[in-house]
Amino acid sequence: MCEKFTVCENSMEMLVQNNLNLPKVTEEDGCLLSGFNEEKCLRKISSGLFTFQTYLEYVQETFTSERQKVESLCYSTKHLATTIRQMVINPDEVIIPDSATQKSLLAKLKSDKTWIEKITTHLILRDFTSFMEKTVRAVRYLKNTRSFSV
Amino acid sequence: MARPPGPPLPRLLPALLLAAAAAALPRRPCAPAGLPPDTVLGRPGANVTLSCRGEGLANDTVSWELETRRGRRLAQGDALPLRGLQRDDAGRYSCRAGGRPLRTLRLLVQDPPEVPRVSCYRRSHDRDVLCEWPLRQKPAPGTQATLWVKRRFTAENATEQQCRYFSKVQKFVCRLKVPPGVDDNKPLVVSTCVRNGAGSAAGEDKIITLSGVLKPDPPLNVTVRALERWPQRLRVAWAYPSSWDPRFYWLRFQVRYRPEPARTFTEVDQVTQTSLDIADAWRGTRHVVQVRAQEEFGHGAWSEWSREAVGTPWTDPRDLASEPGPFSSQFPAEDGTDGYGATLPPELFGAEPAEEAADGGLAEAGGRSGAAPYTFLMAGGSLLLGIALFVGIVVRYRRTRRAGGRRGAKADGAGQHALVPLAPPSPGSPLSETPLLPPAAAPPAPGPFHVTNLDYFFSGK
Repeated sequence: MCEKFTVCENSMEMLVQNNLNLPKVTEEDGCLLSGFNEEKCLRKISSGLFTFQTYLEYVQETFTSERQKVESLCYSTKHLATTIRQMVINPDEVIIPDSATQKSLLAKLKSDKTWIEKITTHLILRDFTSFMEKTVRAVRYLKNTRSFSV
Repeated sequence: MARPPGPPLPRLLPALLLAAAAAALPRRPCAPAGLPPDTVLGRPGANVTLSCRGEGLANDTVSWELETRRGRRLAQGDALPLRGLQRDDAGRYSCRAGGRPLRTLRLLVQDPPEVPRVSCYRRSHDRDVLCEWPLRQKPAPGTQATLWVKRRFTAENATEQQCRYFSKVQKFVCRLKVPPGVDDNKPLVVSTCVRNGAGSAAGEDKIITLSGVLKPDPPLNVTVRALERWPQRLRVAWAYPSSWDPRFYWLRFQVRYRPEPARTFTEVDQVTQTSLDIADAWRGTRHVVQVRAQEEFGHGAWSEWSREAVGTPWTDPRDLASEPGPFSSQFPAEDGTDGYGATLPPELFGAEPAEEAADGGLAEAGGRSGAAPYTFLMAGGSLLLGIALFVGIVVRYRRTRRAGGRRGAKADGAGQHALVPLAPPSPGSPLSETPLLPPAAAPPAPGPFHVTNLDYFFSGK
């Protein structure tokens, strides 16, 4: 994003007051070392990744120069979301957006202004990166402390 | 690097927004500390006159005294002129007339504080943020430094911290308590104000994120170990710095190493473990190794480099006894004549500059006059070629006579890079001498040398 569209960190952080409702891992989700809660955290991660699915589909449409990469990102995110869902004791508690919700979200994200489109794409990717970092830490911590195979 | 020419607007817009945002930030007031009554301020080097205001008294009856230098009489008179103030002129001056104290004035000799240029860092995710700035001069007594921090785009009140001066490092340091649960990527605004009697100075507002100011301590206990039977390997191991708890957050590392005679380091990136095998070490040479660390996802800055650790790869005791080197050992020891072995000592080969090594510069090994390298090279190269051919023929001749005695006499147990089969012992083959050519012609990438390690070519001489 930074190289291709000059949408970089620092340059646009002023616009962070977005209403994109991107999934975020917060302290209450039990994904940090203090107050780590396996069930809660995995549920959050799985739900979050399922939610990101729609956003990534949007990115697929807007970030056309990297289409292939985004496609595989979409695919592997879905795969990861499903895997983590299987690790949750009560998989039904994982929230998977239904197709109506997805459709309305996609419609909401769309904008006829290229600028807004770019910012939206940037924010989605930024928050997805942050979400994945937290996912990596939490899953690794689980793997190292509990004896199960991922 | 090259950006596609985009519309000019987007590039302009962020700058405008930034400027607007900066202007909109309400500036924290940073007023000078008020002077208490009966205090006089003077800058170093300036002139100041203290006045006793003992009106109606004859000039010669008023005397002055500086408390810290009691007993030493200063000038007499109602007005005490002090010229070219120095820092140690500061203190309490009292005037008296006929033994009766009239007035005490406090003289401050100080400059207004330096403008703080703050930088913040954090040793790990579970440490407080430290914000600090260096000073050119020791701060005047009574200088106060304050730091405020608040989340950006919020109306919340800023938390205030007092900063302390550490004379050893000549820095003001403020400890910024991080409330748990603050998003690592959310921007915080840090403002500073330093004040003393002579004035005040506000630092520019700084926008930081908790993850952006991470700067781990350098890795600890770096060790370099030889691996038995691997003359070109070194195993580097290190430990997380004690300030970083690896249970949850991890670091990634960068390792750099150089053979002691070389000046430049080879760097290895993206190391996530706490050990690394170097596979292209120079035989029998001491190597210097350092490691540094960064948060695993690249947040924040790299640590400083660790302390240097040194190590030498394993050396075959037998090699020490006879002749060392990968090239002479290509041949069964009995077959290698003294002359041949001596022309190709590995350390000389390793030390060749690139261009020479690239076109038969082995001959250069003896004398590095460098005056006319090319003529020398040509001569040397052809000489070597001749010798090699000759040796090849001799070897082949002997081999055939011994009726294929040793097959594969020397396995390449010498290094991870299988030695290029310069001379596979295949006595029967009519082409058996051709593989002998490469050593003389300085193979572009002979087995044991890593092409990426430029030190082989540019080494200290």
